[in-house]
This record gives sequence, structure tokens and C-alpha cells, in this order.
Amino acid sequence: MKKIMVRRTETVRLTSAAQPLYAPAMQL
Amino acid sequence: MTTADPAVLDRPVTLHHLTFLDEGDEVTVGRPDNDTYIHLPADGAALIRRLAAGDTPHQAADWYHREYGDTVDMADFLATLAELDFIAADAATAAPPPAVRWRRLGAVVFSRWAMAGYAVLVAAMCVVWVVRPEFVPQYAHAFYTPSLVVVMLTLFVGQFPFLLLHEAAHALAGRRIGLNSRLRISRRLYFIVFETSMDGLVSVPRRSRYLPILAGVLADAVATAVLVLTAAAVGGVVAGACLAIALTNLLRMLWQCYFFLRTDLYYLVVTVLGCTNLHTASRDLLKRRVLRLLRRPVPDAVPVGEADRRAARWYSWLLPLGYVALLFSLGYVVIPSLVHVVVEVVDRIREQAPLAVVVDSLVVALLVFGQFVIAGVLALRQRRRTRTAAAHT
Repeated sequence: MKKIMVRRTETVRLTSAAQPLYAPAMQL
Repeated sequence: MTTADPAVLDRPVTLHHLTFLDEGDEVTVGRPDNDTYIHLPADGAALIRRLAAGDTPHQAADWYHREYGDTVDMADFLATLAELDFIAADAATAAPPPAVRWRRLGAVVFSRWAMAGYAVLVAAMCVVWVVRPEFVPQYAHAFYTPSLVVVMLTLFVGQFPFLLLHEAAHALAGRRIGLNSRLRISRRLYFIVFETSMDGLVSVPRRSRYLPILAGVLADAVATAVLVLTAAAVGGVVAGACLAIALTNLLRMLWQCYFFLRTDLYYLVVTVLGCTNLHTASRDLLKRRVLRLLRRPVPDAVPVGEADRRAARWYSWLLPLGYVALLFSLGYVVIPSLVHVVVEVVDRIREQAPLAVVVDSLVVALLVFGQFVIAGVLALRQRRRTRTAAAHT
């Protein structure tokens, strides 16, 4: 008896990260 | 339904709406309304197609025997389909193809004319950079005003509309090709991230996946161009704020290079290499290497595709390197910065500095610590959810 093997696909999470803040003024 | 009942094999099975993507020896089959997708051999997918066409499981098994000269364990296969929730109780409850909103907007935003417009904006930004090099993003742009609290608030608050723009671009590029998505807040290591879940991406041909994957970085580039061009046009404090936010955009684009955190760039690499689950394959290979080194029992490898197995041989070495580099920055930059903030706030309170200065310091401390507290809370919630899910299985 042949068993059919299945694999769940990888989750797709497209991300963008809030940049951490690590604690003279520019003259323009 | 109970597949143990032999009579079940003589009745047609009602399946929810499923999608099929043939990729050589393997087929990706999925239920788009609840985002459940699997890879299975082509003969297994053919069996599902027979069931969907109205064959009883027995008829499908007979067809399989004629086609492949082998006897398939149909009861086991039906149990798998039931576990995946691919089988509906009856035709009335079978999920139809899901409606996808905003498709038209997605088509407009990523039309050829729109893309040409984005290219003009980015080219104009490059011209400004050549003619006026002071507009090229640099560290000093963050400090466009002497008040560090204003700087912090600009950087912290100013980045959120652009985070949402990045994710909206992913979502619209997905909807343009009929894929639904969900937005949520999560974390990667100690980074708070906005993420668009688009599991259905595996159900479209690989060449159609590039735009949804790259749409976020494209949006970042266009937004940066608009900010730089605005700064060049108006000058003054508005220009300062624009360049400070443009700097955070650039840092976020560079953050995508941390592909071991499964960033957009990771999914791009996976798509180019023809992989299906490179991260899992690599982590598993790494774990078994470590166990072998420690002379501990080594479990069997998790089942993965051939492309994943090939790529995992080199990608698995990059995983620990990436984590070490990031943890080094945690110890070298983040923790000393946090200690510095605490010491300075305590010193000012102890020295009885003017109230405005103390409040100023406390706001900065709140912003700096707040982001890590939020990342920690998200990690704990994720851990609790994983444990609850494990307890239910």
C-alpha cells in the first residue's frame, strides 16, 4: 500500500522593521 | 467524516475550493480561503483532482492503480485531507473561491505607466544626490534640530506611515494577482516588525512572485525619493525632518539584508533558488550537525524538497553567522546605549536638574525602552500562543 506524503508549505511573511532608537543641527 | 468507515470510500467527497500549481515532480495544492497550502507528489495531486471531479475514493484508487500500477492507501490519504481541512461536510458548506478586494487599485499602482513614474522619481533623486551631495543620506541628518526629544519623536513617529506604505505595497501587489493578505504586528529577534501574511504566494507561478516580494522595497525607494526631492525643494526645518525620515527609510531597506530573519530578501532568494522551505531545512541541518558534534542521538532529517536540501548545505552556515553578528551589535551598541540612558536619567534626577530637562530625559528613556518592552511582550505572546497550539494537538 503506497502512502502519499504531503508537506505543509512555508509561511510567507513580508516584513518591514521599526528601526530601534539608540540614544549639531544640520544647516540646509 | 470518519475515514475509518469503509462506506466512506464509496461516497463522493466534497472538497473546498482548491488551487493547484504544477512545479515539475511536485504540485502545490491549497485552500485559499483559509491559507492552507501543501506540497505533494504529482500523483497525489492527480488523486485530489479525481476526487474534486466527483470520483468516489474507491474509483479514484482504481484509477490510480491503472495509471501508476500501484495500490494507494486511500483511507490514509483521506485522513490527511480531512486533517488539512480540505474536505467539506457537504456542498452547502464548501468554501467558494475567496473574494479579493482592491485588485483594480493594485493593477493601477503597478501598471507600466506608474512604474515609469516611480523610475523618474528615483532617477531625479539620484540627480539631486550628484548635484547636491549634502542630500545623500548620512548619520547627521537624524539630528536636524538641537532637541534630541524632537529628533527621537521624528524618527519614531515618522517611520510608521512608511512602514504601513511598505506593507500596503506588498498587499496591493498580491491583490493585483488575486492573492489576499493580512497585516499584523510581530517581531524578529528584538525588532518590532509590521508583517503582511501572504501564504497564497506559493500558489502562483514563481515569475509572478517577484513583484509582491519586491513591492515593499520599491515603495521604500519611491518614498525616499519623494522625501529627498521635497527636502531639496523647500529647505529649512521641513527639509531637515524629510531627510531624517529618509534616513530611517534607508536603514529599513538595509535591514532587509538580515535575510536570516526571513526578511523580504530571504523570500527573494528562496524564489530564485526554487526552494520551498529553506529556513526549516537549514535549521534542521544545523541542529543535526550540532547533535552529531556532541555525540548525541541524531533524529531523521525533516522531509524537504531537493532544492532545499542542496541550498541548505551552504545557507545553514550563514544562519549562525548572521545571528552572531546581530547579537554582537546587541551587546556592543544596544545594551550599552540602554545603560547610558538609565545612568543619565538617574544622574539628572539626583542633581535636581530643571523639571523640563528631567521630563525631556524621561521621554527619551520611555521611547528607547518602550520599543524593547513591546518586542518582549510580543515574544511572550508568541511563546504562549505556540504552547497553547502545541497543547491542543
